[in-house]
Amino acid sequence: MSYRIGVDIGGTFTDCVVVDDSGQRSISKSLTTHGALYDGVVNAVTVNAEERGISLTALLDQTTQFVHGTTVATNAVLTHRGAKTGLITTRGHEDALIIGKVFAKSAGLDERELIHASQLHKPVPIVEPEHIFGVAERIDVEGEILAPLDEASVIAAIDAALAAKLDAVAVCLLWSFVNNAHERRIAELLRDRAPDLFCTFSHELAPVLGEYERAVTTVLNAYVGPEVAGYLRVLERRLHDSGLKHPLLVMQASDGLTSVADAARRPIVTLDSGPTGGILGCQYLSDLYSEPNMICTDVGGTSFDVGLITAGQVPLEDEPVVSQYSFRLPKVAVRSIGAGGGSVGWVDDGGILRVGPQSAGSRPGPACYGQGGSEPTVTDADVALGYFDAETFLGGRMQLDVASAFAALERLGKPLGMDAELVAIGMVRIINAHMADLIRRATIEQGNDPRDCVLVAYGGAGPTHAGFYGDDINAKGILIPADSTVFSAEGMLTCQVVHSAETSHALTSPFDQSDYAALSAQFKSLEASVQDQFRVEGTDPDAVTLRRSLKVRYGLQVHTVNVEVPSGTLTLEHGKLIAERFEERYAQIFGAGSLYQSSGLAYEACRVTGTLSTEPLRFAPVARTTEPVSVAESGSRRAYFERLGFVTTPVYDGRRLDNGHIVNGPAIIERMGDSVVVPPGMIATMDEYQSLLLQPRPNADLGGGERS
Amino acid sequence: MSTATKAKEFDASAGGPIDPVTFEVMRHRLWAINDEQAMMAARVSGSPVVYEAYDFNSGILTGDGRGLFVGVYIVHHAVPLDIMVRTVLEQWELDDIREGDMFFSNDPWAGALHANDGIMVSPIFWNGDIVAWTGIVMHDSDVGSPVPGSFVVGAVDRFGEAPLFPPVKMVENFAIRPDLERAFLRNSRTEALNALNMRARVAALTITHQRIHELIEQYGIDTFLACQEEVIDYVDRIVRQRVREIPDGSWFEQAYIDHDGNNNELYPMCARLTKTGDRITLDFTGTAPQAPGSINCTRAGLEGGAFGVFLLFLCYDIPWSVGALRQIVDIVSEEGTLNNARSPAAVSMGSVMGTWVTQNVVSNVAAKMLMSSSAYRGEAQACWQPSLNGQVIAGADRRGDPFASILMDCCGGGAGARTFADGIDTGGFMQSMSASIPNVETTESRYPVLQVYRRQRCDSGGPGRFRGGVAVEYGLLPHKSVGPIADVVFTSGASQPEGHGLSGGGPASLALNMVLRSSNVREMYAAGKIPCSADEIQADVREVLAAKDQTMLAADDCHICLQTGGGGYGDPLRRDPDAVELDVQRGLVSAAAAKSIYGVVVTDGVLDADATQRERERAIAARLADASPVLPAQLVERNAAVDTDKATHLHPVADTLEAVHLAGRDVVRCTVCATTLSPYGHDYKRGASMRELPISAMSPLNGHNTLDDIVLREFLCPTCGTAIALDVQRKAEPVLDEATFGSPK
Repeated sequence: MSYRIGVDIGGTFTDCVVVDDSGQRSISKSLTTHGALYDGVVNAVTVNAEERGISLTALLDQTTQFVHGTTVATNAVLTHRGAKTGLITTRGHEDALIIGKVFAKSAGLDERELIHASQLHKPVPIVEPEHIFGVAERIDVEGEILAPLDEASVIAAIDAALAAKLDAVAVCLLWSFVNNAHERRIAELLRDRAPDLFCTFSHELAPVLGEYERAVTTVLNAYVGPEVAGYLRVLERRLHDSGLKHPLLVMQASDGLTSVADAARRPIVTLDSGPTGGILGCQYLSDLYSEPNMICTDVGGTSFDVGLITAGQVPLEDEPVVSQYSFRLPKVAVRSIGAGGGSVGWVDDGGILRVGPQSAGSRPGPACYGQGGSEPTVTDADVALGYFDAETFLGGRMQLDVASAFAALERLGKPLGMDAELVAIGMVRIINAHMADLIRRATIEQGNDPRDCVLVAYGGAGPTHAGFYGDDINAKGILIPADSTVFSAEGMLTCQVVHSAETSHALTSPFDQSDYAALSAQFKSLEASVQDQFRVEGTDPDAVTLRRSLKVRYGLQVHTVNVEVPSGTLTLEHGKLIAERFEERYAQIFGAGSLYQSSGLAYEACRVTGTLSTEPLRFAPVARTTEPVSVAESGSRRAYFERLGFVTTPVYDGRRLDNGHIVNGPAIIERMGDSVVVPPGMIATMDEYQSLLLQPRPNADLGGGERS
Repeated sequence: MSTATKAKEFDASAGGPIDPVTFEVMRHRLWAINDEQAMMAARVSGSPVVYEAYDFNSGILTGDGRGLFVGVYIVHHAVPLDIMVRTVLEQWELDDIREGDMFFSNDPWAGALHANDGIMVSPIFWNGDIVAWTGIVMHDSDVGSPVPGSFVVGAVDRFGEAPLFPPVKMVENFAIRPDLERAFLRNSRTEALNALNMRARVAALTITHQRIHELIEQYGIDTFLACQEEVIDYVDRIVRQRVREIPDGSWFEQAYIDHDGNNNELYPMCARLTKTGDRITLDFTGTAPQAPGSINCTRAGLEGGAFGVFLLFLCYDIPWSVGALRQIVDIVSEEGTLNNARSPAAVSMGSVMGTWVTQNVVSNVAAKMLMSSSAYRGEAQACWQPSLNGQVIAGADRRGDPFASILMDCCGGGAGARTFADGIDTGGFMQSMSASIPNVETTESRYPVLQVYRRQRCDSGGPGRFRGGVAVEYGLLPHKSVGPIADVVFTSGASQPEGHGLSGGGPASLALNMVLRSSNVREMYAAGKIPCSADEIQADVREVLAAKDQTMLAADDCHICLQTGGGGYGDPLRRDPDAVELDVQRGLVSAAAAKSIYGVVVTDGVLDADATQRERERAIAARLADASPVLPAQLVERNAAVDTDKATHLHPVADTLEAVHLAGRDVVRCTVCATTLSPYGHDYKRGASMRELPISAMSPLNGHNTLDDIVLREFLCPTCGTAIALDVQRKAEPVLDEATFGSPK
């Protein structure tokens, strides 16, 4: 027997999924151990091994792939507790990081935050202004050295960094991606004088145009570097000590897995990687179900995350934002709002019921958790509407305090003249509508129509609400995977090892043969660097599939589109192909009327992605059942549905549902850790992978339950 | 809010009742639809001006043209959409307005800020009735006129500017009328780009039409109409409640625009805000007649500048409904003035002059009002970046291809100080929180120039207990261009500091454009030296440009451009010395200014607390020695007996002033020394002492281009010498009003 293991760390739980070579899945959860996260990882794997009736050592010994998603980098940035970091940059431009293109005060904020001018601020400094060191040097757009590097100024900067007892230093000079001579010389000087500092160089990490974002990328990498590197090394050693034979693989925020060595050198690749596992898991489902367009929705305790699968591909965001810092390292595109199970209901100055974005978090959590929370949350509303049951919540691991939920809702309703149930109905309608609004926005951005997409719902509260928000946006179908509460960890197991390299390469039309020769050379150099990365990790480069893409825009415009480019030596003929592909994609994203042929084309950047082909993960399909669905019916309870009111609603035990079972809405399907709500007019079908597919019932009327 | 009242309000609404949950759901959806149409338009356009400066906006209005939502982009654009809709409703018979029509105009007398800002509005029909309007405004890069870019330095009236298009039915049945479009595009130097913007507007409005139809199908037309009414009622209700909580009173502010494009004349703009109960009147009486140059704006620009401030200050957590604000705020303005120009006034710079300075005076007068409310003083902010120092460069790049563009570094000013914190350094301007400046590398890749340095400029923020944000300064050198570069600048606030402070806080420094002729920058480079300020560069001539000016840059001519910072809040002598020390260490305030303005002695970067104490005492003594009472003592009503214990606090007035009930009457007094300045209903400034200072007293940068008769008037508590107000004025003018409380007689 061999195993693959995926472990994902969340705010409350560390999730673990183990898949064996027969495709059987087992899942486990363990409390996240803040301060020593690796303990929680080992605990979660140990619990899983116990459930399988084997020892931890035996499990790890037979594990061929161990994949891990870490929040260490994200937490360091969000809590502003990264390394003490310095920045060496071009003199005269030391303030670039602080100025933040002016826009930094608004970067990543939603409209609600944006319109409150008096509360805005620039991002919390990750480098203190006194630790930004200007060095005398100047290179121009063509890479010509206008002012030579003044090494004395570099040495002074290094000495000042040492005197200030900094842990890490980032180096980002103007135009270093065109000519990296000065950054390389600074690297030598740093190695000589400060060999123990964690150093990051912009020409290596993000050789792309834009000194602000390049500096942020470099600085963030340095800022999270020492902690992430330390954490991963400790974890890998502990897993190896416990029997793991294969290298630990780490989830990147972009499009795949990487080695510990790479993640330790470029820890920023793990920054905000939380949602990636789930979205890549959806890409796997997209392939499995032959559904090229999907909307990935994750409803957690505090946030609602939306990602997309477009034509089978995961759109990447070129300039992601974390904590108001915009950086340049492609990352899976995710849209988020503060909406989840913990979102708090409140009454605004105009007497209107509002929900979120504040959240009760996991401590004290919703009122019904009985941990001292007194504010009414969406989870409390779900309890009041009958979607969750006090006894079976989280598979019975947590007894809910229903009275507290009702009391909190009633307090909120008093000034509105609404009773607890009316408040709960209102809160759930509002939160569902907000989630639907975010999905509409996210799909518009990629030129998708929700009606052509299958919506995938996961996270603790996703299956409860997806029937409502999925119906609102007219999704083609709503897919609820079997293990939705650990779907991110499961998704990681579907990922492959990916290394990529990107660099700016500016060319404007009309292009000639020499432009394509230069472009080919650029791609070949990137390909060599990607293959080197694999070679260093002991991988046979022949097992690696390389893909090229080119960032293209219209000459006088700002939007760029990534276009797939053929391998080999490029010619003018390829230029025509690139132009066609560009316009096709441009029209898809920005609208058919948006083409601007007369302005010519500009090429901006080249990117090469190498993917290591690994044996694909297979879930074991289960045979079609012959039993009636009634075997899974476990009882009924009073639950609320719009247009029906509170009705006696059948409850099904998800563990007893099988391939081929069809549940008519309204119904509630209780599974390990979640509660799938099937609204009236919908049916839920279980398939051979134990996913549930919610769709409108053909010729549905809205009856179905008894009125209470 | 009791439910009984609520139910009644629902009964009064046109479309029938809407429950609060449905309202919240629809409100959020409509807001999202409005944001989507703005983003959609910007995305189709893809133009750098539209996309990088976010120079566009959108709105949704009721069927009769009341504004429901304004987007979060340049707020001035979307406020006057209702003017455009009303103009269309006046000029067309209802029968001639059909589904799929879209009306276009760039006429400032029909709602545009200036000819570059093309507005398109479209009716939404349901069962044959207009049930809503939606609108998009976008900046077109060039719409004609003798000057590329269409900001016409040198015009005297609108006949010297770009041609205007009064409202036309540009689109019928969702299709552009090609003849009309050709007529509009004919005058532009950027025809293809403008055509794309036109398509962007149409695409966005078409999508919005679908989205709103989906919404009506889902909820029903009665609920949709009821929701519209409730948006206005809801915003009206909250804003009125907020206004009601603020003490009644009257506040005043004056600023100038310097240089009309032809001559360096000063044009005053005045705003008096009177607040009674839950109503606000904004009176611009005293504003200069319209200028013989393109700095004027029309009533649309005035309303954009004025209502934008109230959206930011009073609607910071609710929908931006101009329709609701119009029910609360009355505007009094005489036609034929600087910000309410009558045709054929020149208005091509109106968006960055008349409208912008309207925003400056309204934001300060509104901030003065908010300062007197314990509940809302946290929203009061001194003037944000008070002017746009625009630099346009044109010439041939290193391949010999022509280029011409404004440098978007002009979005790099400082934000105004708050009542609880400094203004944001390089925080930008107030009318859009989304504006940005480009990377230096982006600028150097587009144009044949070097930005030799770009930094936060020391001493450019308005001094105060809380300091105004500092502004960007850069040095720009032609680099590998073919031939010299034409260099056009337009700004205001170059001869008089325009970003005023609050409550004794100082104004930000002057805007500056200076050319260092035949500079030694390249020699410095060769020697491995990088200049970081104009002072480090040697030059044959240091030529200071006028506020509106043009010149040529030869290969070694280095253009120094300084944007404007934010105004300060409170007396700078009361700033925490540790904060000043940090400012000096971080290069935001010079050691010299720390001493002369803040009374803080920082030696070699380290605070000297004892010397600071002595310096502050000396500064106060000097103030009191220099100052004299504004009014002769016998004319000021003061309580002789100061008995602090018996006073009852009524409300705050300014940083160091409060209104109290004392010895049987209401007065305004100093919170530092308890001296009474005036009875409640009198202007406290008349009870203050005053001294006059040169504008260089508030920033060592205020040394260029200055006019002799501009002075700072510093108003002080007559007893303790704390600064309570600071005005920028011509010497010959009488002392300006500040504030009076109570209902006007």
